[in-house]
Amino acid sequence: MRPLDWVVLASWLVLLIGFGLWRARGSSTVNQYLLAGKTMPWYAMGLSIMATQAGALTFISTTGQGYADGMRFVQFYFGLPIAMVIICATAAPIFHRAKVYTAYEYLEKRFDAKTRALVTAVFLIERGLSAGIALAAPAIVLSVILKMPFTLTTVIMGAIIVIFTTFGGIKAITWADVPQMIVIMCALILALTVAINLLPPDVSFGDALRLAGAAGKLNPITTTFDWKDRFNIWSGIIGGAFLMLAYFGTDQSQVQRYLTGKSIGQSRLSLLFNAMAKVPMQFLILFIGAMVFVFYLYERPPLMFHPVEAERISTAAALPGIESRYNSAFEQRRNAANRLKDAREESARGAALADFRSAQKGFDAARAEARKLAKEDDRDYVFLTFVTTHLPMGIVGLVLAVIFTAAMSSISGEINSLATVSVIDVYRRHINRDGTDRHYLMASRIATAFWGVFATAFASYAQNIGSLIVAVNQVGSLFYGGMLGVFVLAFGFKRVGGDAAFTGVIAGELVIFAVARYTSVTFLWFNVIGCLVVIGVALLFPRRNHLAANERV
Amino acid sequence: MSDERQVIDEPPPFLKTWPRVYVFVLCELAVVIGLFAIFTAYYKPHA
Repeated sequence: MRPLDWVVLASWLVLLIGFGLWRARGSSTVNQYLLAGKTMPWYAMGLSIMATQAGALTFISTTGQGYADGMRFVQFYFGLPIAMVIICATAAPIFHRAKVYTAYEYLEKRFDAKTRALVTAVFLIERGLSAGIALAAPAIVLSVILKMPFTLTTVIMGAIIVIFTTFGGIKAITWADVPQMIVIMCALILALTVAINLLPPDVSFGDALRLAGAAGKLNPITTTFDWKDRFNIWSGIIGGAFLMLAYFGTDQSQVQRYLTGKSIGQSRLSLLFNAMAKVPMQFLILFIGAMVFVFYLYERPPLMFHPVEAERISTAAALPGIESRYNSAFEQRRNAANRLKDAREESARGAALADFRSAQKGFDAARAEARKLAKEDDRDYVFLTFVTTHLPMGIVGLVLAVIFTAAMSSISGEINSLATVSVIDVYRRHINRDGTDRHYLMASRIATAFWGVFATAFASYAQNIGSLIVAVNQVGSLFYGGMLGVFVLAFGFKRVGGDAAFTGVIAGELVIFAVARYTSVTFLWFNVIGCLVVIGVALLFPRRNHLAANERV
Repeated sequence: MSDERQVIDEPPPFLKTWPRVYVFVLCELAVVIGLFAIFTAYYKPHA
């Protein structure tokens, strides 16, 4: 990071936060603070939903995924358009007409107080923990790249997020996401252009595609079905649809975005915009990773992309031997890539391809030796290493600023939704039912600050308990199936009552925990299994409860 | 904290009805998956 990069980073932060707060001026009621007074146009909501979901890890991890594993991760998003269409036809109009602040408020109107309380508790636990992780993950990477202490990075990010979200509310978050998402797209296209332009003059774009294909990186479709494989077309369409239904249909951090729409139609358009744009966008991000891979066929990549790990293993006795084998493997791979690029006849291409794949295996083996010495995987540092090493001065600062603000966007949305649920579903429902609007507005701001501080504190602690990060991510996937099941019951099974829904959620969660504990089924299927168990158990519940619920509705 | 605003449900700006827009979105998904399949097959390494 050079001085100009720091200036760009600071300027972007100030501009974006200032723009968001300026657009949010005059938010003096709870409705304006939590739902933007239901005035948002579709494009602002659409870009905001996309920015929140993208987050900082899209930049950091997805490009690394494309580099290391190819493009098959894009299949994870195939269920998203299906889920969006279902939500547009069901949840979006139902929540709007119910005039609720939270999705869980609707559950009491439809079922009863205990079902609302159960799902509220599940959301607060799951989202509260994940907000901390959402802050810790980019803070770890940024602290390494910016050469700043992790705790200081986390506290700076947390403080900016708390101040921005507490004062601006949902309106500031949503409007700040509009320029944010536009700059994200520009930065991605710029990074792709630079990666292609930096290839040797005799390597055309067509050659780059053939080389990436030969290395197995251009593989957006995998048709083989495997319960344990997260990324194939079947888990993407079926498992992905259930996951996205749960995320966009039951998670308040997303529901709240489209509840800010000035009409049902505007909310639908924002969701459908995501439905159409998300898959091509993920394709582009993964494609950047694949092109960075081709770039590093000709430019020797560092043995370890993770700077701290590289420094740590630099004194290892085995390192000189590994480096020697690594350099030799790189040269062999580069020569094999050139032979493959220049091969014209079918027979020569077959031999060159076999050579190239063999050289790639040798290169991977040499890198694997180095990775055995390191404590952490370095996949998340591939793109940032490329950016900080090869992008022009100023642009490096902009890309890092965008990563910073992408994290801010995701976490602000999560904190805002946590505050909304805390005030609407807990404080106003169970503690103080007769407060004034001004009182609840103050409570909302205090709750926002509380969750921001909680997320920052948790993030600071999370670095020292690495295994918990994995555990918490898995915990998140354990709850969505149950939450989705209860909303499917609410929307689609009018005769099911509160007791049946409540019991269904408990049963669904128990089954998901058992599947997670005793089988190797990948987490994408937890949502399908959990949802079906909730519905099945609720439908088996004694008939009189169904009828009682029907009367209540 | 009550919300007195009228909930508006207007038709889409194109294709006249929402179900038609939904079909359009799902068709786009099918086309994208189809293009990805062609892309995968075209660049699949053949030893």
